[in-house]
This record gives sequence, structure tokens and C-alpha cells, in this order.
Amino acid sequence: MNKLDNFKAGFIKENPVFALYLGLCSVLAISTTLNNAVGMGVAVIIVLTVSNVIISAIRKVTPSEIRIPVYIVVIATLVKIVEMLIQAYATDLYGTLGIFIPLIVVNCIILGRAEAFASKNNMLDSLIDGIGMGLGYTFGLIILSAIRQILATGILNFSNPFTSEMMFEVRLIPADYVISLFSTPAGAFLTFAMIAGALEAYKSKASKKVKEVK
Amino acid sequence: MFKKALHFTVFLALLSGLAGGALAYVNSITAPIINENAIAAEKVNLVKLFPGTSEFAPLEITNDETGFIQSAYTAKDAGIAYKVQVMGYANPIVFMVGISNDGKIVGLEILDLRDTAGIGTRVEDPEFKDNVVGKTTTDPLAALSGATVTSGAVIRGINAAKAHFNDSKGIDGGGSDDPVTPPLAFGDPVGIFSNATASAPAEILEETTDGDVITYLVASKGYAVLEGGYEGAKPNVFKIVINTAEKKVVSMELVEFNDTTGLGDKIDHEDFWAQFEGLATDDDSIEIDVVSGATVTAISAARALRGAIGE
Repeated sequence: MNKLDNFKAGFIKENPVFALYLGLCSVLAISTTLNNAVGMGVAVIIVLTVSNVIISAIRKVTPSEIRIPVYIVVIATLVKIVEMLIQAYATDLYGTLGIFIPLIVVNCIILGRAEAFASKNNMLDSLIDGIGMGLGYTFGLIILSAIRQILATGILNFSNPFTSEMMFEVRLIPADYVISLFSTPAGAFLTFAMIAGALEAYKSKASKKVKEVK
Repeated sequence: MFKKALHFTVFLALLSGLAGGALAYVNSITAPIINENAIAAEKVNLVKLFPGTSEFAPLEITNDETGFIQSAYTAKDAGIAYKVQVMGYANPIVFMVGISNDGKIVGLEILDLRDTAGIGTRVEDPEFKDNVVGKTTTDPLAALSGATVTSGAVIRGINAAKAHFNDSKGIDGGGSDDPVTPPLAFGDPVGIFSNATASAPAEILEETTDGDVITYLVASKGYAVLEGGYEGAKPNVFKIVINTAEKKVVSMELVEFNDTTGLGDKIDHEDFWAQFEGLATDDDSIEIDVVSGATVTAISAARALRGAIGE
């Protein structure tokens, strides 16, 4: 697998959210606004990339019998650091993400990539994999959040997480026509299922094409 | 085997040590900022309690036995603001109370209140705040009649803050721990010989004469019989003492109560009985004030008296 393929895999074909169905707990819970999605996505990218690099760096000295506790220690430490940084520098984001920041520890994407990729590949590849998978997660989260936010509130906006200053805000649906169901967990499942279904349809169509060409 | 276990232990211990070190380092950088953010977030409320003060410093609470006090801040040269959480009627209530350095409650800010709208939420009304603000830390506080659970919880929280304040300032007597009984809220007056008392005549159960003083036991239909109407509903029984020579009511009390607990039994309050003492039995214009929220039971008391005088 070359480095570009490795990077691109996380977006569509192996998108951790919509194709692998990993880390759904936090995805379904916090995907109500674009701000949450970007904040959570960046936190996951940082944790995933750094943990991939560290785990890859110590893969040769880590005894395989205790590799899982080792991964957990590394991931938990990184998550706690990210949590403290968010709490200190992006208080509003900390308030809205709340419990889901510490829960990144048990986000299976991170442990999954540590086990499936970083423990078997070199540091550079692990770095690329971390960024790619992290971006794929963020990408999935942003799509889900944007759809839910627009349908539930009619507004799409984004504010600077460090200063709480509004960067842009557009009303796409008049206030009388919003569907508040989409801000609830049920709305999260509905939106998620439709996107996952659409992606599946796209993938099977694409693979059919490949077969016909052959 | 043992060597392997030792290897694992050392490896994990080393890794955990490194992780701990990294966490401690980041914590040392972020902790002061997080602390400052927390104060900045609280400051909006702190300034409401101590207008004109801008310097606030967190105060560590160590000697709070109640566990109600969440955090406290000293306002420079002004007083102490306490953030308190107590359990209300249905949900926790979070509020801030400010106590000035001279021992006066200067402000009360309710931050989180999810009790019954229109009842528990009355602690946010000026009626309750006026009752609290301006009191000293040694004054007892009265609960709100009709919202005793919520207001009582808030008062217990304030008392925790008062106790801590008095402790730290060496003031004696932090006021009673429990809210004092609210004063009775009286409703409209009702005449003893009015139409309201004519509809369901009382029944005299017992009559004891001792010289000029006659003691009656009177059964009078209350809420349970008149409005409840369920099977087995019983009237209330009152003991009425009348001096026939002076033609005056000596005393009146409730012997048996059969109406709704928590509503009708409000009449069993010294302020209510005090109205009856000394009423002239030969005057048909005498009246008493009913108790707000216990009107029907109060009228049953008036009927009982009518029954006794009518004898």
C-alpha cells in the first residue's frame, strides 16, 4: 500500500464512522453542531496521531502479552492531556463536549488503529495512518453534524472555539420549517443510517463497475 | 516465568511513571488557567452579589459538615460568596449567597432551579429574597408557606453558608439549622353566623359543665365530608371552651382531624386559634379569618363554634 492510498483509505472506503462503524457512541451523541464536530474531530486527530506514533515507536520493546494495557496507558495519558488543554483554552467547547472528551480513551478507532496498524508499521506510516483515519472520522462527524444542525435548527454556524467569536452563520431553512427531531438521539440514528446506506450503495455500484471492466 | 512477570511489571511501571510525569507537567501549566476560567465564569454572579467589587479569590472550604457548599470566593474588602447545592423538591438547586464582612446576607442568586413551576420557583420571587437579604447570619430564616420543601432546602443551604461564615469569623450562634415555621397566611374573613356556616350544622358530641365554664366537643363537617365525599369520610372534632358568665370563648382546639394532611391541618396553628379567644358569644357579627389553602377546614372550625354557641 503506498502512502497516498494509506492516507485516502480513511475517507471513503474505510471511513471509520460510515464504513467501519467505529466510535459511534460519541459520534451519535455530539454530532448536533458543527462546532462540536470540529472540536471533537481535532481532539481525536491529535490523540490518534500521537498515540499511533508513540505506539509504533515502542512496538519493538512492548511485550506482546501486555500490549493492550500499554496502549491504554498511552491513550489515556494523551486524552487527559488533550482534555486539560481544551478545558484551559477552549472552555465553551469543554462545556458542550463534556463527558465525551474523556470517553475518547475508549473510542475504538484509536485502540483499533493501535492494534491493527501502529503496532505493525513504522512511525511515518503510523503518523500518516493516524492523520488519515482522524480526518476520516472528523469528515464523517462534520457531515453528520452539518445535516443534523441544518435540519434541526435551520442554521449553520461556526464560532472560534478559543474566543467564542462567531465566524459565520447562515440560515438555510426558515425557523417555521425546522425538524427538531434531528437534534435528538433518534435523529442521529436516522441521519447516520441514511448516510451509511448511501455510502454502501455507492461502494457496491463502484465495485460492480470494476467487475464489468474486468 | 517469574522473570517475565518482573519484566512486564517494570515495563508498565516505567510507562506509567512517564505518563504521570507528562500529566503532572501539563496540569501545572493548565491548572491556573482552568482555575481562572472558573472564576471568570462565576464572576458574572459574584458581581451581582457584591457590586462594585472586582477582585475575587477562591476560598477553600474545609469545615463544612453539611457538604452543601460547593465553592466559595472572598470578595476583597466586601465579604464572602458561597456557591451552594442542595436537594430541592425534585432536582438539585444551585444558588449563590453573599455574606458581607459585617455578617449581613447581601444577596441571593438562584443559578439552577428545576422544581415545580409556580410553586418551588417562588424562591426566585422578591417575596423570598427580601425575606433573606438584609438578615444577619444569626437571624433565623422563614420558609415560604406553600413552597416549604424548595424554600426550606434553600434555607438549609444558606444556613450551611452562615455556619461556615460564623465559624470563620468567630460569631456565636449560627441560627437554627432548620427553617422556622412560616407565619400563617390568612385568607378572607368568614362570619361565625354567616351563610357559609349555616349550610352544614355542627353536632355536639359531649358537653361538660364546670361552674360557668362549659367545655364542648363538637363534630363539624370539613373538606373530607363536604367535598371529598368518599366512603368513611369523617368530620373534624373540636374542643371549645366557653365561659357563660362572661359570654366569651375561652379557647378552641382541634381534637380530631380528618381532612387532607398538609392542607387542612394548617389551621392547627396558634395564630389561628388566637382569633377565637375572647370572641363574644352574644354578638352575631363576630368573624374569623380563614387560612389560605385550608379554607374549607377553617370554615368547619367556624361552624363548630356556631354549633357550640347556638346551644
